[in-house]
Amino acid sequence: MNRKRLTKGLGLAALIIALCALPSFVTGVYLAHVLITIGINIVLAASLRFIATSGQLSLAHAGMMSVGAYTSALLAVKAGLSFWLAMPLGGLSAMVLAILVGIPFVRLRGIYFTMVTLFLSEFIRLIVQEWKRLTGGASGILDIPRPGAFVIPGLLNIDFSIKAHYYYLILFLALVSLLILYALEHSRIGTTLFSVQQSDSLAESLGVDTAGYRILAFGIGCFFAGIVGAFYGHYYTGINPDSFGYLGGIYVLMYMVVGGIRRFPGPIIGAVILTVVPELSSGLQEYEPFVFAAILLIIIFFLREGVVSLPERIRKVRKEASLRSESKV
Amino acid sequence: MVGLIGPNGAGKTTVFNLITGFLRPTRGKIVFNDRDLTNKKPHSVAAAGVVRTFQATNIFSNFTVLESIVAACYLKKTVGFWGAFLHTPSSRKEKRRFEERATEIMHFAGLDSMRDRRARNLAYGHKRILGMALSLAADPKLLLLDEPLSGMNAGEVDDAIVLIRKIYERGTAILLIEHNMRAAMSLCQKIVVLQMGKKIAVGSPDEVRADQRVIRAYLGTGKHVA
Repeated sequence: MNRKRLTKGLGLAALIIALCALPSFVTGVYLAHVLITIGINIVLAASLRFIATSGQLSLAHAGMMSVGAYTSALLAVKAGLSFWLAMPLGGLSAMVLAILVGIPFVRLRGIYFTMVTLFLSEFIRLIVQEWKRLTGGASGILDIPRPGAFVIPGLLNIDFSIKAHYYYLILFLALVSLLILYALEHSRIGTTLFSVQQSDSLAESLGVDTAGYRILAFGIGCFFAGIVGAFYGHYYTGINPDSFGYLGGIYVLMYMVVGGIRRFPGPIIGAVILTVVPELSSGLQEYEPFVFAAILLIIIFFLREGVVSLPERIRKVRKEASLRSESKV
Repeated sequence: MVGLIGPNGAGKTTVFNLITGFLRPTRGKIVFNDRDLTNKKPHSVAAAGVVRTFQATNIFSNFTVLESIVAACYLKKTVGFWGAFLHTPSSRKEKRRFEERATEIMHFAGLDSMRDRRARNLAYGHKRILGMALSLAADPKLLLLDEPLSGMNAGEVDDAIVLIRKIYERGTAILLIEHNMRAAMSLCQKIVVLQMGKKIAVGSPDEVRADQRVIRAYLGTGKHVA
């Protein structure tokens, strides 16, 4: 058991070192962009899964991302705030909004909750589009400043003049986000959220403020959507309402389902696969939704628990095969 | 131990829902140990020491037996959000304390041998016992059992009756809804009979058995027959 843990820990450390060293090998601007997009999508999918641990499926992630992006961009452009302050405030604004709408929303269960989150996402997009004086309407906000340089004299000089620097930033954000989400899930809070997911009424009868916990999960999940939204704005240096259509929220759901919702690494794997696949088939760009749908259908029919369950599945099939061959002898 | 009986649709489970805050009363008050629990949310009622079980099997299906009882220890928590999130030593101590508590409860309920089995894979009778074990983890002063014996076979019924008696003898007041009359009559010192939402009789099992109104409620008046 301890040895297994050790190998796991070493493997994880090796992976993180490899990820840190990656820009030395991957020098192309395009590849760096793909890696950054993967980072954004990983945080989105993992935080969506955190909301799902309380038994709620949110389709508001694109909307929450835009709340974070606009808050951070406006603070930076209009108030001249540093990115390093504006980004956390972007996350907080998404969280505050999530908690405020969560208070009435969590009275709804299942598909009804999901529906209102979808409406919320569209509602946010429309507000952003129509509130022209603040948000620039359909043309959005342009010339969002780059993050201020992060300098340790003689050691580190990250001034965001090249894509690799954004890569380091999103790598850092993703690792911290995943660490926080993992720590939460594997604490008593996670246990309580899972108990709410499995039986709301039972958890409530055992003294759990189920509405409170569901608001908490929604708020925390949306915080991370807001954070990566803020990153997105400063990375692209321009945002408009269509950057965050409801389809984005559905894509995040697909990352989560394709990777596997039951286990922590699931959404991470899903986000990687579904970000890379459309890039590989860039000739098929117009058909992206079709490619996604095809992958989703294959997963739902043949690998219900997602790609993350593949090794387990193979082991099972092998075991059955060996049992069969034994019985023949 | 008080039994709550009555024909189907008499409003027994409704009484439970009213007491535990799953439904709000339109009139009247719910008072427990001089504390007013009227219009309180179910989780606050549980925190006040009034815990219910459910008529339908209601368990945490994907948890193992141990995990589900640990989760049910929620009310016994001493570490707050940040302590739990940061995995402080006291939160780890709390986890160990919960596991010890869960082990005791498993032993008490006779579920030790099923410790690491998924709740959904248990036999029906064990699922119902687990449901009761979960409510014990919340340390109730008053336990409301909603048809704990329904659907069980004879052997399972005997085990469950032993457990219910043990819970009562440990010092937990019990309000029991049960259709198994023999069990209800033998377990309870006092029986309340409900019909159409009204209390029609209260008394010892013998008194209730002899009560004409009760017999009429269950068997009808005979006027409509023949």
